[in-house]
Amino acid sequence: MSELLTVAHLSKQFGPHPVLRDISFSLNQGEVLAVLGRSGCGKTTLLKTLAGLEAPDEGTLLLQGRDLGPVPPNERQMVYIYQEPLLFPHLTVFENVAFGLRIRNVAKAEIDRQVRELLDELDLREHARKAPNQLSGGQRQRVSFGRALIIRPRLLLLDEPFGNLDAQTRADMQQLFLRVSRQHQITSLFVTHDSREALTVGTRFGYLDQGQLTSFASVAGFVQDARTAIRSELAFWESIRHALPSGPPTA
Amino acid sequence: MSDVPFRSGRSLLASRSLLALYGLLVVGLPLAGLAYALLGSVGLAGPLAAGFTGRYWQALGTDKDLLYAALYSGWVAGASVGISTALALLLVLRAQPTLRRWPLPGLLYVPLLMPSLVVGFYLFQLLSRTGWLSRISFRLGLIPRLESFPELVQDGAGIGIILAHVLLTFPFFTLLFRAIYQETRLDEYRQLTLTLGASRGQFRRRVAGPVLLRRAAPTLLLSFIATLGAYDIPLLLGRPYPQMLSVYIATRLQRFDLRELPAAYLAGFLVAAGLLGLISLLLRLIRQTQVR
Amino acid sequence: MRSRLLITLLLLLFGLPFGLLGLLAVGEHWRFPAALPPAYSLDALRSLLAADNDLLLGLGRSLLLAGTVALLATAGGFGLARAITRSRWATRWEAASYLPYALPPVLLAVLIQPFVIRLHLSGSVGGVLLGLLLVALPFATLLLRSFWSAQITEYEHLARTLGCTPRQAMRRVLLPLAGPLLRTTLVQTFLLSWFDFGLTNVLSVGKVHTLTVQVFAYVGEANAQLAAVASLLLLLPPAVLLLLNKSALLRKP
Repeated sequence: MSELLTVAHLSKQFGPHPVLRDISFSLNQGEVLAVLGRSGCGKTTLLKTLAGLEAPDEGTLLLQGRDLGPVPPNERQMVYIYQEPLLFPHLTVFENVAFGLRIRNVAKAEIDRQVRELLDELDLREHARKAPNQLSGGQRQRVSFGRALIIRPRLLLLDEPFGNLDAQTRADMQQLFLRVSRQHQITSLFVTHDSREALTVGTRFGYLDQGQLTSFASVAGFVQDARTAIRSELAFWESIRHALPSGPPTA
Repeated sequence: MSDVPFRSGRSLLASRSLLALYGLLVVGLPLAGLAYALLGSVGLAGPLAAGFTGRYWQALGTDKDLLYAALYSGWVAGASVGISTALALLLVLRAQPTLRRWPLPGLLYVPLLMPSLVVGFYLFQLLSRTGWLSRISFRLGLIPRLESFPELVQDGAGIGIILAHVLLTFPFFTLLFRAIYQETRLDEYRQLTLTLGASRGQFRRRVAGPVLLRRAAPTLLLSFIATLGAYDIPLLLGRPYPQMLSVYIATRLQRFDLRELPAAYLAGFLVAAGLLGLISLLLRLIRQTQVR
Repeated sequence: MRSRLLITLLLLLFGLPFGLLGLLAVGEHWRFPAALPPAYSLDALRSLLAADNDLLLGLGRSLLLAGTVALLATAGGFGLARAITRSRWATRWEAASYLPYALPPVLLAVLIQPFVIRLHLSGSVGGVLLGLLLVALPFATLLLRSFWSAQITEYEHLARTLGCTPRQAMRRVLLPLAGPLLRTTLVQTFLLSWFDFGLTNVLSVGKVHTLTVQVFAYVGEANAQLAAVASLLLLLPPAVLLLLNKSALLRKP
């Protein structure tokens, strides 16, 4: 696998408050780096800096060896996906997905073909003509995915993308994300505060706290680290299991 | 590319120079006008400025015209806003279902489309002693002579001016109160207070009325200030004496006798300063409501 | 029953102005104490069609002035509201925007007149425009402040990562999102300058004959018929705006 993104010694301060402290990591093509972090840990600033929406105070970003510093956000091909789907309310589902191609002046027939294909894949075909406010929460987030995928992003930046969904829809969306990621060989940085979600979607793992990123070489390291609180969670379920009477439940 | 970082130095500079120009226009120009009026009132600015003098300020002690104009404006504004508020509250609290029936929702917008000058002209044509109502009353034999029709416009108490302002303001207040009623979900509060054992009247007096008035307070005060400085309506429906503030200052400044200018500048300065005090009170009120 | 009475009463209250003004506009030789005009004629209204009619010129002048004020104030207010949102002193700028409200338009006109004279704008359309903008611009700015929320910044950021240049993000995302509020601001600032009499009259020294100035002049000449025609013309554009706005409201899903 080739190295896609290299981040070295990234730092950023807002006034006197350091938000990112000396962050370094690299990502290979097709990897999903799942970063666990609670609110206020600096995750949004990290993603916005990668997207070019915030300028770092120090540090370098390399994409396939090319310095990203002077590249504006619209030329980075890195799509930021928010907790809110932020569908454009003045456009239909079809036009929301087509947005990235329209601004690139892609031929109409080509747009039609690509959007149809993607809507089929995301199971949104019958909603193409609907307005965003006619969709459910899960459908909206799928449209938001489609809108990002259509421009074949080099990197997806996901900021708690399923945070507002109910448990069942959330699980469905995680599976959809996995399927689409593998199929399109998409590289992404997925920030979440849910350790279970991190373990479901990630191929590599990190922990972000007070602007400092810890990368783990293996799943085991991630699970063992006390700060991720995965061990205490496991212990909790274990204790429940022990407390239950053995054997199948009777009606 | 020049637009990296995202908020480039250039766009920041453009936004700062835009604000600087805005400040010059919106703050600089009125304040310069205020300073000019102050200098004019002490004989340091204006066409006949002859050096510093305190005599126009001293004359304030004997000349009560400005004070009367202020008191008269206060009376008109207080009465107009008070009556409009009472009418609007009455409509929203006692006739809520009717307000939803055709054609009322649209009808209440109609007065918002009327320039105050037109309302002034219309009320003059309707209510003056030679106006339509007087003619109809005369034809119907309700009044024996033209003089017997009550003085409703250009009267001493400002009834015509107040009526015109009420006609323009109370529909707006009604729309405002209705919007607040829905926004604060007062209907749900009504059901709640009824289950707590309150009567409908108690709900209106103790819950709905206070909530509506408190939330609308900034708008009511803004409306009071606007009526205080009203010009078009008192110009058509008012008397030469007493005059409302705007008419008083404008007529004094437009007189041909230039020697009256300093006194007019003084009046303009005092009124502007007073109103600025009122608006700062209003801003504090708005901030308090926002915090709440 | 009571409800029908209330509706009738309000219909009468708000309908009567149009009735009486209409009667005055078409009534001929209507003198005291006749309750109704002895004869009716459409002459005053028909004369509007003549090319050099004063009222028609006034209507055109008022439309042009109010339209220009609305466009400038709305466009300026949109940019200013954004600049204020980004500024470190946002609350102070907002407070400053209330300043022109504190002063009645006539008083404001009186205060700035010495400077308008010095700028050689007294008695000109430019001077009136400056005065009207002084009121309309902060009004539009305050109205449009609510648009620039944190969510709008996120929409803008999203558009940029999807490949929009700043200009494309403005044209394809921000302006469509602001559409309804921009329309409201256009209408409100248009009406603000359309309704104005005092400020225009003071700053134009009676030389810029907008419709309101004409109404006042006809009232001064005791020409009730022409004053009524001018008043009806003044009511026309706001009524059209109300109807348009209503249909726009109905079209919403």
